[in-house]
Amino acid sequence: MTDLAQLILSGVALGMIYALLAFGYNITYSTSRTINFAQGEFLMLGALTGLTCDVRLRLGYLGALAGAALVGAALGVLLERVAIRPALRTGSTVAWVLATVALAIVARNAAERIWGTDDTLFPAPLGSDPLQIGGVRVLPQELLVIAAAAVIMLLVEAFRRWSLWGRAVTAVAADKDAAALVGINVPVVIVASFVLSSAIAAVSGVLVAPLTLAGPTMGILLGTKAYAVAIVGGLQSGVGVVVGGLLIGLCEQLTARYISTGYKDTPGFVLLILILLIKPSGLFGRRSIEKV
Amino acid sequence: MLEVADLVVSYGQVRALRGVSLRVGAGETVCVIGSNGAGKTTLLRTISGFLVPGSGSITLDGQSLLGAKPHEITRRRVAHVPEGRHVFPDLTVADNLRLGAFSRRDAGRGELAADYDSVYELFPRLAERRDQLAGTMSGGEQQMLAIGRALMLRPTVLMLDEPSMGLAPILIEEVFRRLAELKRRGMTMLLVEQLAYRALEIADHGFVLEHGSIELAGPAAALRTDPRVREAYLGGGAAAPRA
Amino acid sequence: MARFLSIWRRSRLPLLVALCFCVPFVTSNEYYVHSVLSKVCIYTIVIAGLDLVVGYSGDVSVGHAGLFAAGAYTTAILVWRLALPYPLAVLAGIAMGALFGLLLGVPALRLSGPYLAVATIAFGLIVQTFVNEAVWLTNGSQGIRDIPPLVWGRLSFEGNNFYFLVYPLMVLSLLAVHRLARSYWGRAFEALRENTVAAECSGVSRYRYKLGAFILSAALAGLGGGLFVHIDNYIGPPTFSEQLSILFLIALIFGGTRSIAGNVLGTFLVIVLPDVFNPVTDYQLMIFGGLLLFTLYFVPQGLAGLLGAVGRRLLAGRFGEPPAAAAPVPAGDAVAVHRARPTAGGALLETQGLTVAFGGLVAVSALDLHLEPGRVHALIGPNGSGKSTTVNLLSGLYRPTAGAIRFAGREIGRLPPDRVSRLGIARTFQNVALFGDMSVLDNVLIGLHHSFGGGLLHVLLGSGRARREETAARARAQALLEFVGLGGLGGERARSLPYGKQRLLEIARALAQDPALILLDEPAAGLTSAEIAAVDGLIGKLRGLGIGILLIEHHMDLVMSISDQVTVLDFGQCIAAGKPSEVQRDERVIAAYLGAAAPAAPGAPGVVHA
Repeated sequence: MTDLAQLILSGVALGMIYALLAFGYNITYSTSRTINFAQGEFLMLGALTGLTCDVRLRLGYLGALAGAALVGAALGVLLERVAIRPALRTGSTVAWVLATVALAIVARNAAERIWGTDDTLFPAPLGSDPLQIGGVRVLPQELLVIAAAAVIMLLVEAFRRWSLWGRAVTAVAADKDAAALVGINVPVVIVASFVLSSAIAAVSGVLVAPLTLAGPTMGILLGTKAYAVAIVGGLQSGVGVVVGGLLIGLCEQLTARYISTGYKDTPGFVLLILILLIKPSGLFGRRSIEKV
Repeated sequence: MLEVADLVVSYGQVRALRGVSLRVGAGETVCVIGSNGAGKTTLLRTISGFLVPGSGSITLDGQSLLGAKPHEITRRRVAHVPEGRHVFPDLTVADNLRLGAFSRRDAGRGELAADYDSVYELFPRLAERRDQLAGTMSGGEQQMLAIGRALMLRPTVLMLDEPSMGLAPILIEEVFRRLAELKRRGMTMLLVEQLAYRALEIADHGFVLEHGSIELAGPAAALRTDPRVREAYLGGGAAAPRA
Repeated sequence: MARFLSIWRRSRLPLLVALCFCVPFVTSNEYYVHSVLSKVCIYTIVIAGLDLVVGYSGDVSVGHAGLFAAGAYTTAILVWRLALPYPLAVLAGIAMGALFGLLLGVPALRLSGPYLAVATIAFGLIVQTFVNEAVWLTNGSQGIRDIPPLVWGRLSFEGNNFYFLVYPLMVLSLLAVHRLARSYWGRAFEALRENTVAAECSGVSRYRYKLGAFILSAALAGLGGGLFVHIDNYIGPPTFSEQLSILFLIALIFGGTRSIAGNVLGTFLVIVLPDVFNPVTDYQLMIFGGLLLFTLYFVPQGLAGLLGAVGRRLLAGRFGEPPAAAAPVPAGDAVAVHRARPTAGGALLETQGLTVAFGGLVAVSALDLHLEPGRVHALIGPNGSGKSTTVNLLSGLYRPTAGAIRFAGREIGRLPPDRVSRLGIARTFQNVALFGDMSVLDNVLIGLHHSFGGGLLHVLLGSGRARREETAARARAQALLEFVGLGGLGGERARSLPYGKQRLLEIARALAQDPALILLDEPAAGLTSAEIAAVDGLIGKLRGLGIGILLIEHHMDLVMSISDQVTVLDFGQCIAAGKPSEVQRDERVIAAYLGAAAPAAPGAPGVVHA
């Protein structure tokens, strides 16, 4: 029983990381109708920057979070300028898919040059000794991840719903022309959405690194799983993303335990394909009608 | 106040506007009428900065609006209620109105509250539904919301693109009554409409746009009884109407 | 000189092909021939197949490594575990690839853009995981090592000799793709890519061709996989990763889509570049990524496109004239043979109580129409009254919520648009829906899609039947262009035509479908009066052929002069119907258009006629 509880907790922690990344997809998809295939690499760059800030520059974990956020924000601007904007101008899907993929490739190579190709241990701020809560063994970092992810997503949702700029983002996502007509500078909002999304990805890297290892290849699988989460939950729904993340995180842990660790990564993709066949807009997504 | 001179606008190779000129004086209501495809929406979208004219000028109080982006033109207090309303469906009525005042940096709490009140007073139905999601409202209510949103800008010029479209006759009635009220309060309006007679009832001046050019122009009262207006829609050679 | 040039032009490609075959006789460098050239041949097969999906059909696939793996593993397993002869194993690999292609193609029909990209990534990852985990079948992460060498008696295809096997297969694959692209299949792909709705309404079945592209593409990937087995006589899971799928895409983009020369060039680059960059191998990926971005934005037509443009300019300079344009097509007898089909009774098309609602909004309500052959029936009404919706209903783009549509006595309300077209209803679109990048003649050839009876096999083999059908269709298309007044413009890009001529082209494409009924959606919109007169004349000619016409228009002069009957819609309902002159004077019609009844008093002073 405690075994199961442990599994669930790990699944939830992992799921929250997926949800954070997918949350980023949700933000940028709503304003630009693109998916950032370099999101996983942004997580990785955030983790490695955080490592430098924490260990090399001795700024501590908070310094790591701050450094990652800054780097992430800068990456967001770069992404929008270099990959998204020009690709959208060409009008083809292949263009922005490959452009973001190209950025991912460049990012990974740059990371190898700067930090080396090896994976490194990221010091856990609350120590790596598991705690005992009601008989269940849980890592403090897992709790930190769950709490931090929840706080971030709640803050962003609160911003979206209650601040004026947040509502401006919703307006741009719904109807760019109408948003421009009420005086919203639409291109600026789009860049801002990329900045936010990338900063969140970078911060997730700092959150997840103590649980795995930090290295140039850490983002590949995480980023890919996060697409599955985003689509299963619904690319246009904040709640959907969280539910999707938890669902897939849990499924993965259960699969690893009860079926085989090798197939651990599969449930997410199987779910993805099922959802795409049955309800492409996702569990919480809304169907859109296309008129001729 | 708002002046358009010899405006030429093309979509690729198609000339949508072939040298259109008109003026809207302060406090006046000017209507541009014509059947579908005449270029009415193109005209408003060009004034609002979505389209770049090939030649011609657009000035507001003597200052050119050419080259300005749509959000910049809104900041100059030129409000545009687009064809098809385009309210933000996932935001409430109150939020939609709040966004109408987005570009007004000066607006303090008190001023905004006063603006809300005046919109709600003009459109009591919106007051009833202030927390309702705009996407769930009927066409007529959305139209009123779209106008109210534009009013939150405290515009110097209010442009409306076919407010009657898709609305049942009773609702068209209601909307035009509100527009008449706005006119009475001194709002400067440029009204683009397909329903010629409705528009001419509340306008001071009228312009008939046909295939990108102004075919007829004059005081609304005169146009109302001019049979050439009907011909512009239904073709020439029509005899007197028959019940 | 001219004679020599023409012989040279026709034989230079076969010469080049033959020369390349002989490379292993010139050099026996194992690395160069086997590791590079043989690999290039194999990957080119895959990338040519990928081009069918991404370049021609316009769908994103980041999962082709999975299809490649399907072919490789099927072949390897059959050869290793069952000792099946290699050629049979490769055939099985192709079949398995095709099957997986079908699995991948089905979601492709329902998804687009980012969703499809992610679905293909997921597919690739699932295949890779399965291959890694199903140790009982694939030997898991160890891979399959014990692949017997390819030796038949004294003939050995090992080492450099493998090239003699894969090179001809590559040439055949490229030939197949080339023939496919030039045929009605290739045109169908392109039309669906440029404007799916217009393609369907012209008779091209989206399901068959989109799915077809995926299956053919996957079969080629399967072939490549089956051959790949003998590159190292070993295959293992790490090879078939998402990285490989991305590499395939990069090769395609570098070389240029929709070009077999591009497929070869791009593949060559992608395999050779890592070695070129050996000195800076640590920065290799960054350079790759940078090159990719550069190509996407500055050389979108790829290397082949760039070289082609440069080559054309060079040739023009050198010999004083650009290479010959497509030979002029002699016109056949276009129209006489294809008179409108006879119909049962008087009515060509009838609707009864036709209704369609979207969500809660009723767009068309209880509409009764009666259309007859050889007559022009106009459908008019103010903006938003349901006219275009009605045309969309009749052409099969929308399904009625209630009511019936009967064409020549047959209920057609639930048929897809390509079926409706093949039954004999063609249409034009309010905003001209041509295939801009295709030639004027090709646009009409899409309308003639229905006339190609020879199937895929005929196309791939370049059979006599395929050639005859193509020639006949071209002649017919040319005649149709002359019929509408666009005779000499067959070779022009549709996009470059003046607007008025584009509208005529749309009508030619509609006429190509042998319709008994044509739906014209605002054919005069945006035209000058001279152009409107041309349309007027053309409609008269169509009527003379016995074709029924449903005309949606706002140019009232045109409507009044040419229509036999007029139906007026307002808010989706019919408010008046009858002869043009009656409708023009109807009070309800005037009120619908102008908002109220017209006041009685005639002209007043002060009104200026601009």
